[in-house]
Amino acid sequence: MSSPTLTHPKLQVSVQQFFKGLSWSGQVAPTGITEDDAIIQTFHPTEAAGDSLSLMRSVRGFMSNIPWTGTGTTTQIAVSQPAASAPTDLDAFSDFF
Amino acid sequence: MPLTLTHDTASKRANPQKHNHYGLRDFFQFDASRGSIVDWNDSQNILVTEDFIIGLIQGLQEEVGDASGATMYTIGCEWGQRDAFFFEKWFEKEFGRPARQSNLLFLLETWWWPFTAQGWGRWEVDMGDRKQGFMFINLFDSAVARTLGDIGNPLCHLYAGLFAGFFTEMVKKQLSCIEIQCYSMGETYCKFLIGGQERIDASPSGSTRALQPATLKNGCARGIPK
Repeated sequence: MSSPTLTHPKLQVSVQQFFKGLSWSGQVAPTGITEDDAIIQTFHPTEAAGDSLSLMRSVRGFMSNIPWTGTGTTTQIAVSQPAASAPTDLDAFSDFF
Repeated sequence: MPLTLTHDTASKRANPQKHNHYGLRDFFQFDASRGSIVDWNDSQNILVTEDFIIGLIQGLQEEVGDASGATMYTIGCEWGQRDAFFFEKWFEKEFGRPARQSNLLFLLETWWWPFTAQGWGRWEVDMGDRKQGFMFINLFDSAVARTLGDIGNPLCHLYAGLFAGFFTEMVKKQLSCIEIQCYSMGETYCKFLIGGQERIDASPSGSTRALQPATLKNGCARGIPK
């Protein structure tokens, strides 16, 4: 299967393709996900928030609406790039309150 | 007999560092012989019906009347604060680094995902108004509100308390949370506002105040009076 390159800021990728593994241009490759795993939490906490988080959240949201072991889905999901100025750690987050 | 909690599924034995473990039989360990359900993070779970939620809320209302909302909020606060401690422990065990040294959004998603798996609903964190000292949480499929349906009042005091307690502990500042729209008021999802306790009135009268999102957004810009 070819590995489509994802671009900013609005990404469309099929869940089926996502689970088979994608190359992610200049970003984090969603490694460790297989169709059999059919989920989700694959990104390491040291990685930048950026797109990996949005993708993770979108897939999580999507997966919660289908059976736990759902596979082979081709439904499209959208990935938005979060605001660049979002706080990156708890200390920065705390400063807002 | 004391129950020793040990998540010990074949999946965890085979790969204890597997982070994508939210499959039903990965995340939960069902032990029919002991009648226990232990999740990946070694927390005991119980299954309850909607009747339990209805009974809890109606029972509280019968017992304490108008204070039932405040009671649920307080229960949620306690829960959230305790869960913050618990979360920091299992997060560090899971990822080998302290929560406070981790990416914020990753941290928040990691905290809530077990709740999603347990049936508390999906969430979405909105930090668009953080510079005004507020943040919003959108909650989809609140277990409480979906159970009781459209009754015309906000119901998710337990969630509001949970968010207040958890974030208070995580940011080490006293925060409050109010529900500003609820599925039980005919909305499609629930929306919570979190901010400093000195700026948000989370008392029952405050949480049931008819705040509309547009009004609130305007209020955020100039600071909502208590």
